[in-house]
Amino acid sequence: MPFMEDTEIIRKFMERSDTAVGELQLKYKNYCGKIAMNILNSHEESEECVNDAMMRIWELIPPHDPKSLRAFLGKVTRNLAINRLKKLTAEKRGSGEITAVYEELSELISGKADIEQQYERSEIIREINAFLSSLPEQNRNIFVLRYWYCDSVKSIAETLGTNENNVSVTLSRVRKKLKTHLRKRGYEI
Amino acid sequence: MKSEEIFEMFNDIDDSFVDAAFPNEEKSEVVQPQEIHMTKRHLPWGIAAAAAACLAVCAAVGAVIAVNIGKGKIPVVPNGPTQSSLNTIAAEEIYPGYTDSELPLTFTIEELGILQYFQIRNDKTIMRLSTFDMNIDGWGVFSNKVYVRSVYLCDLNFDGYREIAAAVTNESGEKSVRVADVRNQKEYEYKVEGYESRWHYDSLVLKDKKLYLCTADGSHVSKETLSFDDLELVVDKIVEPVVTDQKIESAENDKVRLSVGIPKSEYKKGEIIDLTAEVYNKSDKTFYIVSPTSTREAHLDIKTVISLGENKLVDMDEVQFGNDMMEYIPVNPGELYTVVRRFDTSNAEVGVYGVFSTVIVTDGFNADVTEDVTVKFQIEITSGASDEPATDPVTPDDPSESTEPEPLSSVFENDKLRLQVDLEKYAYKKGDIITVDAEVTNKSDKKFYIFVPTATADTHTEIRTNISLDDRKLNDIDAVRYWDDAIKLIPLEPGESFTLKKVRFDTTYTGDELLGISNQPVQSGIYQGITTVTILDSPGFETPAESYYTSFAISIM
Repeated sequence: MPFMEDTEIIRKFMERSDTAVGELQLKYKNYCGKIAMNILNSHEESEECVNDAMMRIWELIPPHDPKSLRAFLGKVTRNLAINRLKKLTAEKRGSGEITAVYEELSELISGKADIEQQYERSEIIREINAFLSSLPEQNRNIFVLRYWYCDSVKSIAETLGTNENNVSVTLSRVRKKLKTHLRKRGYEI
Repeated sequence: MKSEEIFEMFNDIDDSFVDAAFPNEEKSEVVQPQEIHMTKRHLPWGIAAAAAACLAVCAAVGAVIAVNIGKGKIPVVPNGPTQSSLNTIAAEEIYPGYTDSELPLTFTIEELGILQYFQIRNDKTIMRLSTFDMNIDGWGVFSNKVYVRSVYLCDLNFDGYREIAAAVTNESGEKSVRVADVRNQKEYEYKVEGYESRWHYDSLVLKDKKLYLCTADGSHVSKETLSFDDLELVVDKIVEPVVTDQKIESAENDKVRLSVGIPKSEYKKGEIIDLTAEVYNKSDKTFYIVSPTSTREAHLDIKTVISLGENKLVDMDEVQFGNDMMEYIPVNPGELYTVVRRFDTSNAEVGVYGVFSTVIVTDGFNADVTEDVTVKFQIEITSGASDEPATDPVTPDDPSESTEPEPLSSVFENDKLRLQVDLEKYAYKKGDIITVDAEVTNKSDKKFYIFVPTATADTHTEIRTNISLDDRKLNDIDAVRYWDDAIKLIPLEPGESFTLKKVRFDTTYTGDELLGISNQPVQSGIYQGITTVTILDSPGFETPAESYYTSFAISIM
């Protein structure tokens, strides 16, 4: 059976249909599971996180009427996974790909920012979006897969039909470019 | 900001990027497998032969595609475009005569009108002409029968004209990169051999291959690292000084390398210190050296200060007047800008002097953001004055000037505002108090607001100054040690100025009580200062905040 169209799923949520969560789960369980698993590195935790995300969507739609259901759901899952990770880290649990991602992202930190330089998060996001728009599609996808989906370098290489070395080199260059892009615009993060 | 916070912040990137990056598995599952019913039929021999020929062609095409995909030449993005995002075009479309036995060598590439055939997105040095393999039988300056894998236009010898560079395979299967300098009727070849050059995965990587001399006088050589990144030829230009007795001190960022040649580290009083400073453009875009000649010292293109405590050596070439113009000196990709500075030690005190050379660059005349790079080192002036007179002694017009501390100013200026920072002097002894004055002037014809992220009046956040050496930050003595969540805006009418007077910094201890860092004794060195102001165009926060800064360097001995 083909999956239900996103617009139809959203309509079901809007109408508070009993089958809305089921349809959402059917179509996007794997997608959310991958996001959660990449961050949490635990099947048990990921499963709970995905369930939470599905229920959270029930609370969010309505009032929200997302343009892209998948991205919306992905962001909710990612946020819940990050929150769960924080809790696990406090309990000295959790590891995996996220550790490597954090380490790579530390390259973006200039160390110059101090407590007086509290930029508006929305300003930085706007600059990051502008930067991503300027990237070739392949490089942008590599960056998003790594730092949004927390995907492993190997998995990205397989997904995009390239090799791991190419992915690593691209990530390194894009990180440097992003840091320069932000710094040129007065943002030291 | 921590890595975790950055990762969390990425959550808010545009939905379209999130959607596009992830393989659309759900949609692929929508497609149901089709049942295929095959029926055996007899074909006439002629049609069968034609079909066989078609199959052979298809197989060959398929093989080519498979090879290209395997080599990563065609980006494979699930549900995405299968073409490169680069603007590419077949070489024959760009230059119809490229298969001729002779190129019109008397013309430059530009004069041939090649560049008008494709869209130039920016002034990138490297331009790929074709993504397709070509078999060229005798291509002018190239040798006979080479299999050209890809062709690029790039200025590899910095003569302002692009050369034709091609990755080629000859009949023996040897891979190499060839460069045809049409303008000068020269051909260079860089074979892939030795450990310095190799095929790495699907990329041709030439490591440390010397391609050409950078400058005509031979004073510098350049090294090139060529590699193919995705579908682009990447040239990382590295310029190194020729072998010299001089010690070289350098500092750099992604764009600029500033190098200073130091003939020796110890001088006798009366000797002339002769320093050569160079700015090298590492990037692929032209930038401009900012030389604010409105100040008294007109040699600010590469500003060099040699000081001991409050004493500063006399710059013998310094122009003692200026005007109100900002000078912008263009430096093209790969170019060097060089200045020589002579300093008189006749009236110098004996001791170890801190030297710092600074260059400020910007992307364009109207660019708001400047970057600066500073080289720091020390030289010693000894008391054992030479019996021989200095080779070129110069006495300043007013010797007393050399012992008076020179004030330090740093200015950022654009059409909207002027941000000026004034310090009493360049060099401080430990225990001195550094006093900073800062002023913002509204140069525009519209009112704007200085953004102050606290309701407290005297935290100096109206115009923020930080002075630090690495992670050690000088304490702002007058800062108020608490914060609240309120904000305030200071309106600034056109022509109006806002001034912060005498913000004091301690040079005894570093650290930050606010951050809970315990105080530590201040270390000697060159400290970087940065003064920032953030403004809003309207009080209602409809417009985004804009930050402007100016930076300076001071010495603490």
